[in-house]
Amino acid sequence: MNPIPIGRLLRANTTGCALGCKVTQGSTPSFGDMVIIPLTNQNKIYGLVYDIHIDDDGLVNQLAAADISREIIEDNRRNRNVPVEMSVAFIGWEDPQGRVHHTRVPYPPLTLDEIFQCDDEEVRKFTQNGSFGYLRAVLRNPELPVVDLVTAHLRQILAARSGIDAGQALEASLVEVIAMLKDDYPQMMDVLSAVSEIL
Amino acid sequence: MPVNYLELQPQITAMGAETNLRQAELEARLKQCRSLLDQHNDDLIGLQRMVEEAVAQKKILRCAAPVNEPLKTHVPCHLPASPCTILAADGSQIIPSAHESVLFGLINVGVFRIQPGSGNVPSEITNSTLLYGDDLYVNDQPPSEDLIGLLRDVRERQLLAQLAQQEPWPVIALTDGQLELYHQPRNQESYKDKFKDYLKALDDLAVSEVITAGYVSRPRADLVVNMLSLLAGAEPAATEARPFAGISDITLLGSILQPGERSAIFRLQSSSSAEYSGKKALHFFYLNVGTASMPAYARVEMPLWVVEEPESVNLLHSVLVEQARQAGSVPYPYPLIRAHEIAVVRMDERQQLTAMIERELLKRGVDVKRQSEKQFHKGHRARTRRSR
Repeated sequence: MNPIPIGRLLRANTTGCALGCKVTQGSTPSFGDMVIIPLTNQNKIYGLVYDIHIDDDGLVNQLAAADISREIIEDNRRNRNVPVEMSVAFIGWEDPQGRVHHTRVPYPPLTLDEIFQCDDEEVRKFTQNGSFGYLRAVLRNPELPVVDLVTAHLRQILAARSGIDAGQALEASLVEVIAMLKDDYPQMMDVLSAVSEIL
Repeated sequence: MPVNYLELQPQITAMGAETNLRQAELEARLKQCRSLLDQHNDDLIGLQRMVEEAVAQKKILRCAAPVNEPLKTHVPCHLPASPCTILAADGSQIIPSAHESVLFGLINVGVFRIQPGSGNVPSEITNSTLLYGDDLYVNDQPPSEDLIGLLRDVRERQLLAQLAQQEPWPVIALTDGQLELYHQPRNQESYKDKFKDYLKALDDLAVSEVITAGYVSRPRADLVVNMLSLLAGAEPAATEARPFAGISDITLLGSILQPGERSAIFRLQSSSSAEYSGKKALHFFYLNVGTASMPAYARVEMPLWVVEEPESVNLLHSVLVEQARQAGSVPYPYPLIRAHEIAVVRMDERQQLTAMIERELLKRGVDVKRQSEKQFHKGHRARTRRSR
């Protein structure tokens, strides 16, 4: 696991959470990236970043129109409040024995729990048995930007695997997408069209 | 209806009419005051002597006294300011309340540290002190808001002195408001002890040659005007008979100060001058941190040890203008904005602290009362109205 946490949990339920993190572009996860939250009971929760937003306030509004120095920009990015808030949709969890479950998490993480970005090994572990049933947590959630999120997630899976393994994973994931969206043709075509962009 | 607007309307009309009349009176006074300013622009020795004589008659006289610059001096600033470290402090407090479930107070001081032009990320320091036990009783009475305010001011100054020692020179230590304290009652031992601590912290800052200043935004002081009043034959301490009542120093000097300029430096003569003795003697200048179309004035208080070093005054002047401009169209020194933000104790933080104390007391078998009935009902959300 990546040793440096990207942020801490602000609020959560069993379908997702919001986390606050400091701005250090390059080390923060991007839209669609997989993250992991270790819990105190040895469980780990997996999720996908589906929204990243930066809040403003009165002072930031004031500063935006001013000719400000580098130090003040850094102060506002690093010291003031929570500069970046990310929303995460949970896609599964891992029990203390290391078994991965593609089901709803049994218990949400707690306030200020640390969140880490998944490395390639963790991405492979979560998708290792070729089952992509967890995608229903994304495809059936009307609150999520489904097309873009699935595409970004598949891009990460492809990057974490190589050669035939990557091709097989892509094929298996698309079979799952088609099966789940068979009654929603426009959405399915949107997903397939977007996925074709990353191939 | 929360406010009876119908009842207020004629009063507002009367207020407007009176303001018109008052404006005409003030214009006449201002003209006379400006005339005295012009006549005595260079008469520094004469004015100093006049203030000294007036103080001999009335020790509580509060006015300005010139130092070594003509009264109408206006000095431009040099930008960018030279490299330095700025430490800005502000404080907030929780006043002990008998209506809460537990009796406690809090002094919270926030310090913002920035090194302009260095590229270094600024930092925040917070110092929180819980007031409990004997702190909550002064002469068997709960401490007054003034005493808690004094404790806060002392802690701000002590923290600045402590942090400044770790910084390379030059260091600018800024606080919001004046350096001269106004808390009452000054004759109580509890006040005197804390005031000594405050003066000690100022001494520490002097030893470290820290460029110490208090920033008063939109000042309403009439210190220079009061000095000119003496020329017009006013009784030094009278309030009703003052010939230039209603005229502030900014009304008088504002038009002289172009954007970025400071006024002459004056010595502050007040009833507490004797207590700020030696290097601590308080001085001030006025400053325009705004623009040509939107001037923004401040009064900057500083001790004698800063005034004695022209290089320090120039740096303070430049830094204040530069940092105020960082705040955009509403100029105010950015480090002070941030220090306030760091220091302020929000309602949710107060509730969290109360809950922590309650838990500790309950763990130790202490009976924790609930909030008073009054406090409970004041805590309801404000009523809302259905909009159409």
